[in-house]
Amino acid sequence: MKKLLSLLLVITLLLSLAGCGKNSEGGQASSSTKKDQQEDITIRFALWDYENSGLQPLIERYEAENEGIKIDVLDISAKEYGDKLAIMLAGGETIDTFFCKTISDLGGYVTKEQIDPLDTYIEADKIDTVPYGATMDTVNIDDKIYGLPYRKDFWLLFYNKNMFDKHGIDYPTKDMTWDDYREVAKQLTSGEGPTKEYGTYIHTWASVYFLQGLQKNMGDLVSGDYVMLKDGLELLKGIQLEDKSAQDYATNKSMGSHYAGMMEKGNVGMLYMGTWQMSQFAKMKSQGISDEQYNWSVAPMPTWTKDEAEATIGGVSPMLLSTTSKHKEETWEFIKFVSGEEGAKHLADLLIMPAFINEAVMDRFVQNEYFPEDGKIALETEHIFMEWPSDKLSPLLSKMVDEEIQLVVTGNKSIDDAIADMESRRDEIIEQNK
Amino acid sequence: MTQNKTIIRRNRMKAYAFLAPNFVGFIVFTLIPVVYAFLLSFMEWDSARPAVFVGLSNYFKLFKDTGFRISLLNTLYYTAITVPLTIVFALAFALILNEGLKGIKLFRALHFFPHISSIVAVAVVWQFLYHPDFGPINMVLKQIGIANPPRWTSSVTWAMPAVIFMSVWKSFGYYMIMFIAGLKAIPIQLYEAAKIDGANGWKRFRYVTLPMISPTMFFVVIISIISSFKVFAQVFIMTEGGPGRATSVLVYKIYTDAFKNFKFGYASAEAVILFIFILIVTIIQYRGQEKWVNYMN
Amino acid sequence: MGKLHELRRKIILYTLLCISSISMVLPFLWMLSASLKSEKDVFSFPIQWITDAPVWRNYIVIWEKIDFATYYMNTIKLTVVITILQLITCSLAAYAFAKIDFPEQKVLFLGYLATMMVPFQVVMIPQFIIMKNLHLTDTHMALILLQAFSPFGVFLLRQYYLNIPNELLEAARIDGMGEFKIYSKIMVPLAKPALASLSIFTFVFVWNDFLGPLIYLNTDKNKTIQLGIRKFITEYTSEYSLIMAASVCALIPVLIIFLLAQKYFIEGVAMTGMKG
Repeated sequence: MKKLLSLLLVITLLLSLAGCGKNSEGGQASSSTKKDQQEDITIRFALWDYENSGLQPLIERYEAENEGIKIDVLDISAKEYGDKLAIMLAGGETIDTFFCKTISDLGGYVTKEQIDPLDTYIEADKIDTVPYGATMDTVNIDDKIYGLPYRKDFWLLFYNKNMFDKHGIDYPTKDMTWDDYREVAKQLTSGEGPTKEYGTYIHTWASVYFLQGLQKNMGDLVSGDYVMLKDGLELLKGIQLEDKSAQDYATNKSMGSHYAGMMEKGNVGMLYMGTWQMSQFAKMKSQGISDEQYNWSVAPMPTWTKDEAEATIGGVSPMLLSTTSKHKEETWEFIKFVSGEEGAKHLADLLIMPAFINEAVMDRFVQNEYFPEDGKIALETEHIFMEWPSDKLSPLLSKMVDEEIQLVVTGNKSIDDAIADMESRRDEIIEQNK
Repeated sequence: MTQNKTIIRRNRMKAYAFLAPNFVGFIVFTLIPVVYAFLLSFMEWDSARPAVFVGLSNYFKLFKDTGFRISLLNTLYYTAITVPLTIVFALAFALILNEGLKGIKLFRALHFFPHISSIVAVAVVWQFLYHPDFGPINMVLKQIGIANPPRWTSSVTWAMPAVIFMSVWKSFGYYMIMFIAGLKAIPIQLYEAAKIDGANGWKRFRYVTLPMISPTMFFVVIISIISSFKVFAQVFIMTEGGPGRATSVLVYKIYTDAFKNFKFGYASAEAVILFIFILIVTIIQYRGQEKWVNYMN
Repeated sequence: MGKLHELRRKIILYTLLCISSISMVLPFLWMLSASLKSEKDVFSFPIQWITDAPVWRNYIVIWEKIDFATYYMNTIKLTVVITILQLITCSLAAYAFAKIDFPEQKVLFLGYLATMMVPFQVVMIPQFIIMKNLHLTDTHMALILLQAFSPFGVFLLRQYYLNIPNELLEAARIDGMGEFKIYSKIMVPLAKPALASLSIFTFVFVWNDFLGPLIYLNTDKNKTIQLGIRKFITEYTSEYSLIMAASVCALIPVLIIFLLAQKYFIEGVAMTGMKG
């Protein structure tokens, strides 16, 4: 018995140690063994949704071109990305570089001193920041630059030409107003039950419901007056619950509907969504989904008045350099490659909007075989509002706004009450987090 | 005298040798964290910058935090409905299964299985069962003539009952088994005697069964109240605290404050309040048990 | 008290039992039947409990779509290691509390009891910080260390040991048997039912644990089956039949253990419910 017990103890310890050894690969485990040979440097790179990001060939190319550098990709699911990454950074994980999913998280990384400013690197390498355009402002905190913008996404109106043709309705143009949008959605809706065709699909994210408010240019959601949200909420509620030309929020939420899937079925006329959707549609097309099934194109976002400049919302995903990185120079080289012209061209081939844009990159984008000919006007959108500013209160306020919007669109609260509650809850959050 | 001392010393050595493996782990991973949790509740800490001692400020903030008040009320609401329902179901079916019917093992197993099944898997299934338009539950309700059945998880009024109903379904079998064990221990003579005195079924239950299973009852009440206070996974998966904050419960709030907003000190203060609640429940129970618990020995 | 009355009573009781048992089983049956349907039939009404053409492919697809095998292996590893460690550490400690007289016994045991009242949610934050400082976040070791020294296990086994007569041990002590030998030769064989109950409880707890892995495990290669299902829900949101198939896979091991060792489950629950 005694022997058996000690044997068991040894086995369990071995088992758990073996598990641990496996987990810390790349870090310390491999570094002490081959001192005499030329060692590989491993750069740990965290991102979301690796499979759909299309980055794999780019990374393989980088490894091939740079002898002795290995890129260790840390793939985190999109929905949990912000939370998980924060926990890993707090837990002292070795991460050399990572994408910042929403600019509102950036301030947090800076105050917690988890990322390094890049000014010295940018000056040393004489990086030309002109192609990054206005996206450089979003990574600028207290006159220091934190991160190189990698992707730039803004929202557009996707539409299925087949449904418009079927009903003999003109395609959306840049003059479309929100009232037109509602009207067109009504006209495109037909049928009942499982075969019903919907004029539009309205996704469950809060940003889908507050972007009309931001278009009014009355300030951002941290400091602006929440009255700006009223018209947009009324419009979307009307489309879902009165006109029934879109599946309602509650159904989408409890079914966990996916916007791309809804569009792909071919029974939805319009969908407003970020530019990332283009690469998804391109991918489906390349997998052989026929034009008969659905035939997409893009137009600029609808606006409140005809003569308003095109305005939409958007976001920037920069690539950041972790404070704890042990190979900062090598990591910087990698960041430069992914977020620079080479990475941008690669993204353009995938129909993903890069932050780095010059003539060459743009040409590659619109000449892509899957890019719809008449979609060019959509890319000329000038005025892009940030969903959330880089503010330490953004994450807290965003959850609050999301909760209140949820109550409105599930019919549990009137719009005016919700707006009043948002105001008082914002005051409380500011008060509580002084 | 000296001999006694050597014996004591020898026993001590032995005892500590046996305790050591567990005790070291217990100290590091249970005892220190418990003390630490209380200390943290007086700090402000975001996991990156150094912690700052802020005295009672976290607690003052808690009292002004409507989100905390809402989740506290939600937790109490959940507990107030879940506990009695669970106990009534558990006791009723324990009594039925104690009648000596055939197939008792099978019935018992069927009622117990939900308790040990994965909460994640079960919560997902219920999420679909509750679906407002296509879910089997509402389909059936529409069939039997209810035109507008509740929209369950997307209605402020019905989301919590939906969570409660699922929790009762999942856990009452566990308490039922405890009650069966308690019922088995009741000497048959007591019932015989009651019968001779002419006590009917209800009276026998009231004057024999209830007093005799009061120790079990006491235990079950405590355990079920404590576990209701700790409800988390159902809410996390089925409703994410929504719609709005209708199902945001204490542990869900603690979790989001700690691991989403990184307010570790503040979340610890919330956790301390949770602990105080559990402590109060236990003390009241122990005080009250002299009054209504009947220990045979 | 006629026969007829008795019969009527039985019919009522059986009816109640059957209704309740069906409601216990239906969600699981629905899970199973949905996991064998094609996507468009999942919500068809009236519910088809048995599909004409079961889609067995669903069960193949989930192993291809996400790294289900890894999740499975991780979960098995965690449950086995934690269960064994818990059995060893808890049964040793319980022996000291139940069968060895030493001055600090009462105080220490009270300490154990007191912490048993503190819910995991209260200590999860400090535990996380400790693990962070030990650089153990996102490792299995973190979960193993947290769960291998359960005060509950010590409490449960102590309860059982107390019922074992001291005379047995005293006799052996007089014969000059070493304490460890007494424990392993006399105590452990006698306490088998309690050890079995504890290991089953631990197994089920670790297998189904959600909050622990949610906090500690970040990378895919470390995730457990519960997180795997959740990942499925978030990534393949509208593929219900696949989500159901994944859920069935997560339930099967527990179901098998339950069918094999039902006796120990029931005894274990009854044991904790007895006078504390």
